[in-house]
Amino acid sequence: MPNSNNIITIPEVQHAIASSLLRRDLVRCIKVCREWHDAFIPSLWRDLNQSDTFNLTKKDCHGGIATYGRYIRKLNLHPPEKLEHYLPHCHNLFELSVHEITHPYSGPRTTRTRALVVDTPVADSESMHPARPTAASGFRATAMERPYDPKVLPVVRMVTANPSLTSLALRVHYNIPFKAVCEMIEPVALNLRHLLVYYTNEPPTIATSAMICRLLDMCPNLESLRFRADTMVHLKETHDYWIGRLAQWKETEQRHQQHHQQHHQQHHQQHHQQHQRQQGPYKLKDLDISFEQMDQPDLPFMYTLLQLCPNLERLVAPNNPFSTLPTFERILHNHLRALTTLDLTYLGFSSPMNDTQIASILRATKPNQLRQVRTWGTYGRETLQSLAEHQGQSIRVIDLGGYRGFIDSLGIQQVLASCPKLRVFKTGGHAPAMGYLKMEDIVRSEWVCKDLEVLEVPIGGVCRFATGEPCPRHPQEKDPEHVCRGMQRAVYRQLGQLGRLQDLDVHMYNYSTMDVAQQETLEWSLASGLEETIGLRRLRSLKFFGTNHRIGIPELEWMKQHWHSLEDLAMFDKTHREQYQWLVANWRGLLPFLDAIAMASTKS
Amino acid sequence: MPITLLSLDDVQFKVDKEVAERSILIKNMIEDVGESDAPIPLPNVSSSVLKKVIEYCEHHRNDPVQTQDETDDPRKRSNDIEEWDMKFMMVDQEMLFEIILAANYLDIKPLLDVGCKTVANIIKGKTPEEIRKVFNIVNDFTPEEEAQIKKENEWAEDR
Repeated sequence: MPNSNNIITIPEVQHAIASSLLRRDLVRCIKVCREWHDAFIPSLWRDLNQSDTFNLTKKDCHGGIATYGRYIRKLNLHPPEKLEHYLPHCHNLFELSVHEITHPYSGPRTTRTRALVVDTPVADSESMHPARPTAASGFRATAMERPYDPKVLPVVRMVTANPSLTSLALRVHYNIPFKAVCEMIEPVALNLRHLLVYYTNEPPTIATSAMICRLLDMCPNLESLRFRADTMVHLKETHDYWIGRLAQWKETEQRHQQHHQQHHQQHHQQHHQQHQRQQGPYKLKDLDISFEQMDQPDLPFMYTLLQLCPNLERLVAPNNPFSTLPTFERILHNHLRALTTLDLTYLGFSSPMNDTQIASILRATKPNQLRQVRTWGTYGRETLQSLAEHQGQSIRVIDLGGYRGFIDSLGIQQVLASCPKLRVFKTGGHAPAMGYLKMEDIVRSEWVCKDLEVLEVPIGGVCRFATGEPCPRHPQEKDPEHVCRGMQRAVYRQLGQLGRLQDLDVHMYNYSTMDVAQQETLEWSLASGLEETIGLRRLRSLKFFGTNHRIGIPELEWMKQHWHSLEDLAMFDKTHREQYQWLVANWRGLLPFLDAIAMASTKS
Repeated sequence: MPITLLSLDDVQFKVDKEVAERSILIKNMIEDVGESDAPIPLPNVSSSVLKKVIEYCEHHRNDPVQTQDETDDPRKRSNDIEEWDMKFMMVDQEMLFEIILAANYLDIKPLLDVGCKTVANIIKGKTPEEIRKVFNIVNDFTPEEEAQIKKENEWAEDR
């Protein structure tokens, strides 16, 4: 007869159980008995995040590191002062993140920011911010030749103690010289697959293209590089180096073709390997070198780097002016054929791209190449059309973090009706966009995105019959309520087909037409066909906003009965006291519960 | 073509190939041996457990095969168990463990996950003493060991 010990000693079983448990449950499991202790300890210590290490220090549990350090696989230290505690014990670490490696300042103490300014190589004594270097080499000359930084030493030793490390994240204050950053990375440079360097701070940091070049050359096996700085200074030498490397690579390739025709196969391979070692393209699959400002922005030197990364699968396009967009499109079209994730957030950071520009970039990729797209700009119908028509069969995630984007109703409907693999569709939850998806467009065609998990699209167009005014949409109709509710029922039916939907946000976030829009939100009432959404079994969060919804106690009862996964229901306002009281009394699992209590207890 | 499975206690079960192939072990066996009428012996699974496992595979015969990136997604790993699975798992503890062992042996990942989530749901929110009681476990720590474990892992309490 099997007992619990038989099963938890099987690694797969133990792992599956542990991954469904919270920390507080794991820490109870290890106290059950010896067998359980040994089974669950590795899961408890596997991945220590910032607040874990903070708590470890606060509760003075450092003794545990000696006992359990060998189980730590991922470590995120903040602040890094206690590195020495971990240093000798984490033999099996493969991911290390260290925050805020600051330069020790021995001068007069004021605030830390002040101290940083004093230390800045090219600081402007009048302001808190360093002056923008006029000569590009100014920063490099001063910063690269600063003396060795003792603060870096523990990180270097931590890294050296873990030669198996393949993933490293460093967040450094800009006054740590780049030379020291390289020293931290160097011990594991050959093994590294993933590297993140945050070289950004207040006052703003200045990075150079030479730094990126140095990191890439130092870590030849890097698959992902994320480098963040505030300002990027373009160095002509770097650009020349990349152009030279590109030319050499092309030349080698050509020569190989000739060799291939002339010589024996074996000879060719030897020759090939020799050249691979020397030069050639970078192995990068994931590149994110975003910065807010760039020195000499008209030189699209980052695009030269892109040509050296033919395996790129994910790209956060760096900030560049619009005059360089044709170059970018050409490179997308000719060189980045493996790309599946394209993040355009930074490309239009200083001035948002318009609809035509975004659409043009999306159309430069090959058809059905992209799985994930993120933009930041005034997107509109062209963007939506290009996604639906050009990437419809492959796209899984669309995040239009639009700044004043235009939610074109027909365009949205086209996406939902032609992207069968879509899982996430956001139309600008964090910045107000114009427009909304109209009911009358939803009923035109069938949605095909049956795997959709997250949908953030304002839905509206419900008649304002409730206000007693004549309905502007159906002026001729004697019974607008009937027509409108019939249409809502059809909308709920489409929604109800989305059996995997978890987050639904139909929030009308619309500055200019806020009042009108809010009155046009869906009713969510049983009278308008709420029961058609019975298929939303996985729905965790429903967000709407408006004065026209008709959620009363019967609707809440229905939701509780059918949407078992619902945790978050927003948003009611103070006129919905009765609903809040019902929630407090009957639906304790729903969040935010504290709001509900507060609202229910307010005197009307 | 139906496949015949033979349990530990020599009971034969006839199931559709697509149902049997929910088990990666059986799928590989069929691929290795080729189509044959001979029953596939499963010497680690008793008939009562095999019956349950087949019931699960029948119900999930048309489910898409899980891909690696889906199982790695923490959102997918959440604790929601589908209604049918939840009812299916309403069995006594001995049968629950038997199903988990069988799912592990037969390599039926979704069943293994559901079983483990069910165990996790039993553990959740319970004190060590309550866990011991539920699973009938004897505390074999010395008081000194208990104190040390408590001290060294205190950082993870209430998180």
